[in-house]
Amino acid sequence: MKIKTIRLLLLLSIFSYFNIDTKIQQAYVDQTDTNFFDQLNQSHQDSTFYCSAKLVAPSNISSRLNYHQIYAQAIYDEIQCRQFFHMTLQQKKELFKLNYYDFAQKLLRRDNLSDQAIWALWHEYKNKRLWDWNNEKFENEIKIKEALKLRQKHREQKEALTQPQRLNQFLPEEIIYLKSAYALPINHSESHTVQKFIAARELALQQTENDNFKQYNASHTLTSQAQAYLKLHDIDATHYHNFYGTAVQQQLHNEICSIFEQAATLQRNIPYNSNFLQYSVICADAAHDLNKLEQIQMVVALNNLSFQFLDTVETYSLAAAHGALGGLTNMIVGWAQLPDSISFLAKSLHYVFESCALSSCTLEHGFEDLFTELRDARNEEINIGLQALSQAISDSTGPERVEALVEFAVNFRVPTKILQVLGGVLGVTRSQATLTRSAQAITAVVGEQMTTSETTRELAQTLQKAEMLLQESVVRQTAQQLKNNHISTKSLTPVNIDIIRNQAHNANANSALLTKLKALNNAQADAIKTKHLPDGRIRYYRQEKLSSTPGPTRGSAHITEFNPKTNQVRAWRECYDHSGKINRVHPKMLNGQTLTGQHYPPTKSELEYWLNQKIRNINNEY
Amino acid sequence: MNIKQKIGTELKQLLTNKKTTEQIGGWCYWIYMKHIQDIDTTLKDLLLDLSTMEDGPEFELSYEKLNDIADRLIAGEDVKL
Repeated sequence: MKIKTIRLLLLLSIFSYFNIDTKIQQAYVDQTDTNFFDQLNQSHQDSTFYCSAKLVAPSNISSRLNYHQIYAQAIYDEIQCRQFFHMTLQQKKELFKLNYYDFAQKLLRRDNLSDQAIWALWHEYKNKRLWDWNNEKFENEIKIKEALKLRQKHREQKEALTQPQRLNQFLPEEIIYLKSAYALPINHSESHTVQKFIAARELALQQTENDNFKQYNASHTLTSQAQAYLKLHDIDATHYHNFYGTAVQQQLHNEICSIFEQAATLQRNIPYNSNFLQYSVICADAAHDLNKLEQIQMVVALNNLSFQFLDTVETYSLAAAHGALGGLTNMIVGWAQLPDSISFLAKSLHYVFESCALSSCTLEHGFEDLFTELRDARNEEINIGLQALSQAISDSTGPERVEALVEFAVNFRVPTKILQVLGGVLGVTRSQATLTRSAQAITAVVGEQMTTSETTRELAQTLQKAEMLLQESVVRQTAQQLKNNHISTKSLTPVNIDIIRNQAHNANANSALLTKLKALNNAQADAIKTKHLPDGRIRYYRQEKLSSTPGPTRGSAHITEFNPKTNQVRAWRECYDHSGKINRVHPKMLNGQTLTGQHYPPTKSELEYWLNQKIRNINNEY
Repeated sequence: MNIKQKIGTELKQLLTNKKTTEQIGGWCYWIYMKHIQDIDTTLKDLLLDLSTMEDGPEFELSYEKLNDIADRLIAGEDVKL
């Protein structure tokens, strides 16, 4: 009797233990063939990996979930699986039944899966087979790595060909403007290196017109020697690895890379630090900036000048060096070529000055010419300089003539002013650092101290005229601020003023425009780091704010980006982990308007909010 | 009431209404953009620093600290974090 009573009590306790919720939980466990609670804990651990240092959910979370919540979790998992892996839980389960080889093959055949998804699936699969000590596991992992690399390469190539960042259809007026902007100068240089590139430039121009001025991305390589030489001149070689532009721009970029490589090679072969090689690199660097702005004629002029510098070094420096070492004959030959080299150099310099002085973008855009006085003064100086040059050539003979020419090329005063002033106005020098560096280089060429105050005064006069002409408060404020800071003078070119004016179609745009300009101004003033991207965008990094409590995120920085081509300003915040990698991004502002949105990837609080919202919706349905 | 006191009062109001630190962080950025023309450098730095609170619990400040900041802003003081 006692035994029967005990059995009955036991049965009753077991019956009361298995309530309806546990049955549903069991049904879900059977359906997914995974331990639901382990999975739940795992998902919480994953969320902490992405989100924060908050404590993970306790293991007895199941006791707090009711039927609806478990059902919601099941739906949530199914949705997550479909969104991330593009398959149902059932399909995933079937996939996991395969052996290593078949699993890897099937995984790689799914083109719609991202790399992260493939690795997540692979690791999940591998963790389920911890008991399986098989070499096949490692072989297949290597195969997956290689296949993913290959896939990424194909994808990049495909993107480079099909990247439609620029509209293919232009208005007839735009095509006329582009054709005039892309018109290549004819036979302007006698440098034998330039002659090699003329055919390639014409071919590229033809291709550009056939492609309807379509821009594309292309990668370029620089030798390690060239990269080291650029590093010596504080130039970041990574800016030259990718370039986005038309075929002509790509050709000119190729030439710039070629200049760097030739300069590095020549420098290696001569026993002293050549100033001319340094100038060629500085010119090519300035040409790179102009190339991003599609100032084709200026780029051609600067490239030609760089090649001229290289030719000069090649003819007399190398010949002299070889002559001193190798014999008298070579030296005589080298010195015999000197006057020609120097005269070519002078012609190239003259061409650059002319291009600078005559490339007045104001006329092209229907504005009053703001640079008349400046240009006339510069032309007069060029004439005086050239007259002095011709006088020096006619008066001197033999070696004295050579010395006079060298002296003229080195002491010529005009390039400093023209390149500084017009370079600043046209936007060649877009930051204080670049301006200083260019000015130092040009000062070294000219052999005189940089006349900063004079340059500033001339710029201020130009800006004052722009203000008087436009009479717009926005432009006036920006001009005042930029004049005070001497930063980003490019923003005040007539082209950009035109763009700024045309953006204000609506009276309400005034507020956003003011905010946008002020945000950009603040970013420039507070920036501790400025980054120039290959396509011309400039990013201003504010100082990182370190976290106050320990966690996976080390700090957060506010970044503002300015696109000179579109005048778009946007801002976002980046969070960094302890190795300095970005682990989260949060868009904050676009063209003066505050953005309200999620973090990428979402924070834990955002995830919790969404999950609660989803559960609440499901509860409401029931 | 100047802009600093106005922001301090609004911050106090949010704290009284028990808004979360993430919400206060979002509000700080919004108020920074709204008054970007008027605020000085110190207030700008403070608002941008406070707005990091929405990036995660690592950046959160305690309610006591936030209350203290609000009080000091209302008093017209320059606050630096």
